[in-house]
Amino acid sequence: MTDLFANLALGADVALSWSALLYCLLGVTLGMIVGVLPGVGPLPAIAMLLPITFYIDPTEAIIMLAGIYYGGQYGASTASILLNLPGTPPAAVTCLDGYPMAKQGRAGQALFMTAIASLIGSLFGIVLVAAFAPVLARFALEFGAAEYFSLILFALLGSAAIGGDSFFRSISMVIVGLILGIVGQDVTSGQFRFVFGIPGIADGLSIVAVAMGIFGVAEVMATAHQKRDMKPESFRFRKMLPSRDELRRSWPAIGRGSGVGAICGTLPGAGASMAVFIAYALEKRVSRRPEAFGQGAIEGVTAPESANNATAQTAFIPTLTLGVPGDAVMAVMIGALMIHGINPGPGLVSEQPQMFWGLVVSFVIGNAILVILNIPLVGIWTRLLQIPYSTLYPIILVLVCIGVYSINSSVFDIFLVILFGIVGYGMKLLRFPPAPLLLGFILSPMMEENFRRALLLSRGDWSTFVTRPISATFVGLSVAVLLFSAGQVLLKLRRRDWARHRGAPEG
Amino acid sequence: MNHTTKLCTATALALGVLPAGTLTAQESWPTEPVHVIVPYSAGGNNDRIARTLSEPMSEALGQPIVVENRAGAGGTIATGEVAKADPDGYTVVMCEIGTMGINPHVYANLTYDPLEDFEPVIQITSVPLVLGIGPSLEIETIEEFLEVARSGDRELNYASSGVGSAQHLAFEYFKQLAGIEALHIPYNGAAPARTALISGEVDAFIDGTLIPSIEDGQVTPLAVTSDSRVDALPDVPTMEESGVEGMVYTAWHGFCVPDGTDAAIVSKLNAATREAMSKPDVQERFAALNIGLVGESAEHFKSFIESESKKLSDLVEQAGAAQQKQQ
Repeated sequence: MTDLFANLALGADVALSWSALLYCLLGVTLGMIVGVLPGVGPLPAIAMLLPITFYIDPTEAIIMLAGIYYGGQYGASTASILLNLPGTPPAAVTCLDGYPMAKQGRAGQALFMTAIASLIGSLFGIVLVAAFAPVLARFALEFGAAEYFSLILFALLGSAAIGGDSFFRSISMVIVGLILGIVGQDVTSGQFRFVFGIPGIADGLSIVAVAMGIFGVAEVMATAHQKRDMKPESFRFRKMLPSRDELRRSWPAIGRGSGVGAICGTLPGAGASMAVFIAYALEKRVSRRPEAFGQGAIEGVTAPESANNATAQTAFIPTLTLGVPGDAVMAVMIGALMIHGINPGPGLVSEQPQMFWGLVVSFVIGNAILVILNIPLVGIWTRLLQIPYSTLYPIILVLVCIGVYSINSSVFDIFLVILFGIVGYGMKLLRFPPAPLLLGFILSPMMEENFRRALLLSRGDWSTFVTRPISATFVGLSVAVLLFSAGQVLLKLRRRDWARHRGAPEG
Repeated sequence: MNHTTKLCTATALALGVLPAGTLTAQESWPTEPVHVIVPYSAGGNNDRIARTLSEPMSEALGQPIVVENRAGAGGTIATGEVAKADPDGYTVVMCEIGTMGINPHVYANLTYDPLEDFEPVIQITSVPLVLGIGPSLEIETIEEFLEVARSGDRELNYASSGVGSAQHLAFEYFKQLAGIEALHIPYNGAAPARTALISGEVDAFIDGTLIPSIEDGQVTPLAVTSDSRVDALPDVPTMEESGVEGMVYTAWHGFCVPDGTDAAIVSKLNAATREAMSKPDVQERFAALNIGLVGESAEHFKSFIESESKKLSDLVEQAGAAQQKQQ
């Protein structure tokens, strides 16, 4: 324990220097801005700034790049809550209850609680990085192909609980998502599937294009369709402080969300998308009023937001201590370190203590800066909603197109986002939930890849999924979710029967 | 202060916002920012090489170098796009053993011809690969490895960064020459394949990015695929030393421009790249990654690609990696 404090003191020494503070501020501010812009996200910003890092001290470079990464998680929720525009795929879950809150004139509370939930999630993640990084990294290595497959299965079944009343509607959307995820080149055989000779989809449909299409663009179309009947009074700027009741319901949600996020962040490849969906599904399961979810429940915002940020911090555990990047951003981060001659791996913490502990302390500073920056901004952001739709929506659509284009410099992806906007609008009219589709789509390639790899490794023996303990646990949980959902459906049907027999109107 | 000025310049360079002229004549080239297209996602060797060279090259050329990542379908999408770009010297592609050497023999519907559609500029690197094993095998030498593989006591697995990747082909070639069997487990990129090796999910991996994991003791190196031992691993024998005759295999990277680009531009680009490669700090960065620098003329690279293409074509056939081609 004294070691830990000595290490943190060393880190503080590094992170509290003027130049380190400056780079930290620069990183988180930039991250927040690119997070707010739909589709831009932290990856292009980090890749763009990489050459600059040649000139500065490697520790300061990584402090800045990391700041962009977790700063982006703060920013992404803003556009989701205010405009139903998920700038990054994980932010799609924040749309589910954040946007209804904004529509009810509670955007201020949603943004305020997002900042608080993000801060707590991050701090939780930071504590884990500081205290248990090497232990957690070893745990992450226990996850092989069979474990990942079972975890994904569990995440998908769990997420089917998200989409509202009907388990069948949700699960059918998961399946549609899984099918869309098949498009592109298959990793195992190298075959192209459902590509039809279109180069723009040879590597799969763009995740951001699908996410922004079925959420953001579909919302723009739906609102245009409704003319402007919900605007005037509901978007009044109100007090942004949450009510006592909202606070009371938020704390446990933030705790659970942080826990889920921290686990997913530690696993390279599980990532924030899975974390937020599991956190949301879990919250809905344990809630005494699951019917409030999707209608602007504060827990539906705070749980995924804390999960998201806990993931962003714990993602550094496999990256730094194993040299294993969880996602593309972390891969660039490893690249930045290697250019400076620092090799991430088990030796990093002992060989580069100043860098590692400096980074950990900078996380705390960066998150504090983010909260200080964010809370005054809440007032400004909510005013954005007072811009008339006729002005705001064309701007949004232009930003969406620029954002989608910027990811792969692909014009084709702009058409894709429009196409998925139309699909999303159709789903809205037919009351099919978009979130399970998105999760199915994001996890589809990973699920298939790990499924096939697990069977390759076991030489075709299916028992590999239940004989490995971690995998068996998730398979068991999946079965439990399935039975529970089936039970609920039966119960609902029986209640309806009773109601009919008594001649009473349906509740 | 110095930091800040450099920061500003570099930002301007990175964003490509410095004022650009309108002249396109080859004598005055370059008058605009030069775009280097990396057909892979950020963080890999291709990306690292392009970004390390971009700054010193822009100094040599007097114009910013803008590095763009356009990943997709094993690098074939972006490479195909560059093949059709204007041959004005402002679009340069990072070309390597996969996109220029292996893919033409693996993919049936490739949108470019590596030999016809490009003007090679310079071979930048030659990267020896290392056969490494993880904790699943408790052995230390290549002889023991071959013994385990030949005994048939257990079926070995090997990782690759994808079907038709340099690593896949290298291991298939190794299997052929050593007369052993092992099951191919493809991963999506070198990083996840390396993780699988470290965790013991797979037994072996032939790759060019294993040095850091070897230094950390997570991976045991058994042999290198170059024709002589490498500086970073002086105690590790070559494949040929270890009795695997003919097993010489190195990955490589270079720059290419679309066919029809003026020779004067090609030679200017070649000179600027060589100048960048000669900088001590650049050499230091590459040495740390065990990336060997080549240089030489554009003609050298052209004939090198041609000879590699022939060699790799035979290899793909032997390795049976050309699944696409049969469709």
